[in-house]
Amino acid sequence: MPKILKGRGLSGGIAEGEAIVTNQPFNISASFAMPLIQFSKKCRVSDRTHELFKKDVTGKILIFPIPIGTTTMGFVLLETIIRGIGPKAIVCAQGEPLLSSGALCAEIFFGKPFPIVDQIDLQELLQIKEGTNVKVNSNEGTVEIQD
Amino acid sequence: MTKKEEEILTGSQGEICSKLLRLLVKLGDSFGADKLIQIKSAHTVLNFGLNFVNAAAKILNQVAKAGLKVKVRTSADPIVDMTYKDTLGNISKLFVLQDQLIRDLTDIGVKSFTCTPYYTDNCPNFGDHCAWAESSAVIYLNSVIGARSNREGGVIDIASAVLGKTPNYGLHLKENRKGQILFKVPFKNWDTFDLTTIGLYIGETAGSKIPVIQGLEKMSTDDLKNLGAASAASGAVALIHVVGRTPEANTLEEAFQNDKPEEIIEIERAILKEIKEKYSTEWSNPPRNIGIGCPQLSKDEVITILKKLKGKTILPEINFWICCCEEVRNEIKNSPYWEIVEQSGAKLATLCPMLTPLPRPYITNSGKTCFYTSATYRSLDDCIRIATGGLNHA
Repeated sequence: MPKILKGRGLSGGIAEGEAIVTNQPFNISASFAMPLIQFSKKCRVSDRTHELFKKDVTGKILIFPIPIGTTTMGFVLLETIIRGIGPKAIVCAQGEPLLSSGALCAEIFFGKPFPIVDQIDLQELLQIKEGTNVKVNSNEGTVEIQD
Repeated sequence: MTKKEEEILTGSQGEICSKLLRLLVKLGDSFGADKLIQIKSAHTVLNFGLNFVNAAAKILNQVAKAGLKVKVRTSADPIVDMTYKDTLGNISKLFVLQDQLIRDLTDIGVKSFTCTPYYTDNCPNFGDHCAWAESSAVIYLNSVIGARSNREGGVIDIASAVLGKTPNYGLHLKENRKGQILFKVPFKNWDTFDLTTIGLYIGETAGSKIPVIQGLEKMSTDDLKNLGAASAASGAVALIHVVGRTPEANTLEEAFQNDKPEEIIEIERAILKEIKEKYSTEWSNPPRNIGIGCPQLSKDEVITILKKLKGKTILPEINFWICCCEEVRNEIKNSPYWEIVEQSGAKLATLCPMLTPLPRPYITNSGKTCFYTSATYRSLDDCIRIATGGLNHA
């Protein structure tokens, strides 16, 4: 039986993919700006201070405690969504407006929904093993973990 | 929602206006806003023409083409300084979207390109509701001025500026401005470099919580700017109370709104050395660029630097950038200090020394720059010594 976690949907849409999990706060601007500037096909985390440094998050379900960093976060996320190089969805313990703004812009202005679900207990999130198949439903605010 | 807002949503002012409002309403719904409130001022980060803003630039272009205008005083982050286009060479060519963005922003009524709009006439008053982006400016606005803004982002800031409204949640509500973590600074002999470093430490420790600092009553607003910018980079801090210094923290009780801190952390002096090393990238070869002014400098800060540079000359192989807004640069140009700029060979620029990819090795006193990019982290005095005497003089 898949395990279902209930949280809050911050945008719209449904996505399924392999989980990549970190217990460190995640800086979207520091992590994604470099792959975007270099027109990379892959989204290798460019934040030197992060444990996911150099890891490719393309097509993954990215799971972290909270987003941090400067206010370019929203349009950096928007750009990765539109270019299709970023993660497929984001799940975190506590989201913030900057994070959802990128996803909402993608949905409203480009018709590309990008699911974000937050308000899920961090300990539950950290139990998700890397590579596990996860389905994120931002319309319902649920995260379904396959066993 | 008001009747007028509902009409806008259904298209009474065009498709783009409806989409912008939908964005604010959806955002407000997610974060529990009860209504939209009027704002006094806005600041956008949707200005920097590097190639990672294509999608956001398309939205801005639609806003401009629809003939929409900002309803409140709105400024934007710094742009490339064409005064130095020869020095910047190929770097300025990276800003492929710059011309389009400036044209569209100017068309919708945005003025002043700086990360320190509060040094221009875009300086709100205590208690004003605003929609500002640029993490270092938001933290200054909330902490030093006591005006209220959430950390807005590119596009949301434009939507708020054009509609003159923002969702009523987060830091717009007094109860959400309550301090959460108490940081005690027990030592006295700190300087600007230490304070910026304390900012990096507070950011990585506090995350998105609201820090209250005790022991820094005497710090200047310039230093608070540098500390805040660092903590907004290493964390998601949007408001810092400094007991006895900032307007919502005349006392410890006021800062915590008569509640108890969730956590109390004493900052040991020893941790500063560790933090300075952690965020510094070291090179053995001499720097090609040294930059001061991330965030951009106040007039006082520029004058402090110029006094230190008096009688000295920047080494010919090094570019020494002193970055501030156009307004401050003009004031310096019309002052006796301008002579020191010309005599020393320093470059008084309006660019952003962090997002402008100045060739490395690069040295700076900015905690924020060192967090985001590869840069050597040094005090202002060390930066000047290296700029005028070479690496062996630091």
